[in-house]
Amino acid sequence: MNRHTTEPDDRRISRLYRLGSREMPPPAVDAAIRQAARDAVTSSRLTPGWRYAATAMVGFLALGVLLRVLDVEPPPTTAPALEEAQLSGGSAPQKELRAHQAPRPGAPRVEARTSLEGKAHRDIAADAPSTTAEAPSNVRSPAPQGQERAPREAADTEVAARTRQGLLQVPDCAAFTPPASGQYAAWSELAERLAAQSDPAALNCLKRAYRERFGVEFGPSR
Amino acid sequence: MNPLDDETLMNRYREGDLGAFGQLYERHRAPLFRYIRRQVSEETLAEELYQEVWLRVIRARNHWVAGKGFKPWLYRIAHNRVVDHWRARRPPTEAMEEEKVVALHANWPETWLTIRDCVERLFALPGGLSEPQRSAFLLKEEGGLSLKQIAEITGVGHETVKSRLRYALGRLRQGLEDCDESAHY
Repeated sequence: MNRHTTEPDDRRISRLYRLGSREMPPPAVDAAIRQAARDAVTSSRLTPGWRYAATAMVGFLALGVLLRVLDVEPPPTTAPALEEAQLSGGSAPQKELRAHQAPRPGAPRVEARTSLEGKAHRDIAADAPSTTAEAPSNVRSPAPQGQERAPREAADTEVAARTRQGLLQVPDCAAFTPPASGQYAAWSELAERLAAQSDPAALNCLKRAYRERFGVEFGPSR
Repeated sequence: MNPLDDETLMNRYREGDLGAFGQLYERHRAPLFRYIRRQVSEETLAEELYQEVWLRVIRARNHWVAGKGFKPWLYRIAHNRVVDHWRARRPPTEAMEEEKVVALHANWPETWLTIRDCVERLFALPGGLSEPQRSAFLLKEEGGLSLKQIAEITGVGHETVKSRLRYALGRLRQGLEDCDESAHY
């Protein structure tokens, strides 16, 4: 050993030590370590992808939950015919009708989607309480001119009054009899009468019947 | 083409270059294994510790600081692992080693026929080299580390490292002088 150097050193000892030191790690250990290094790199490469997938999954689930919540409790809607009538009429009695259509304590709740067809509305009406069962009487078929005008007007007035009170709900056009005539004047006269009677349900039925028969919307442009 | 240095290879491995790890591993596998093997009496345990050290390197690759060098970091991990092993197994090891020391001195040096036997026994038995002397010598001889790096790894002063190395070399010189160099394998 050279005692005058900064670091203790002995080349002969170093050489002898190396002659007697040839141990190597076993191949199995080498393989395990290399595999671990490979796995670590592979998992690191996958990490960003998995993060993206996880983010997408969370977003998808959140959207699904949101849609489900919206689907389970849709806002109470009125029948489209009544809504249309309310939009076109918009009179004070009709606003009162909307107020009356709020669920009453103890009364069965009737909810309908705006996309439901007329048949579905009829089904809902059939399942509704007794007030709904009176719906067909809500719409009266127009009688020929000059026949029992006074009783019919009285009945229409009664229906309109009951509608305003919220006793009648979904109108049913099955009982509505449109004018047999193809003349616009006949339809217009009935429409004016229904409007005067504040009977939006029947008016809506008339519009629907006109649309179904002539393929165009009811209106003075014809 | 000049071989890439350790730091470059480690950086490349961190970025996902598995080939860089292969080069790094090939470069350090044998010296690191001997560094551990010379300080642990049981071969299987040495293999376990050796594997643990590399697994720690792999797991901690993103925490490695490039400016401080790869080799000191590698041997610091190994040194700490060996010291943990010493602390955990000290009582039974001491009892076992005492018996071996008696046997060593009883047969000294006639039974040491090869240089390989000499080296193994010098490092395997407490009568050959103390743990701190062994550690200092191996960090220098196998790790190729400087006195300053050894002092940092072992947590002692520069002069203490020098002293340990001096004692280790003296003991090795004494133990290896009469060994048969030609019959080492």
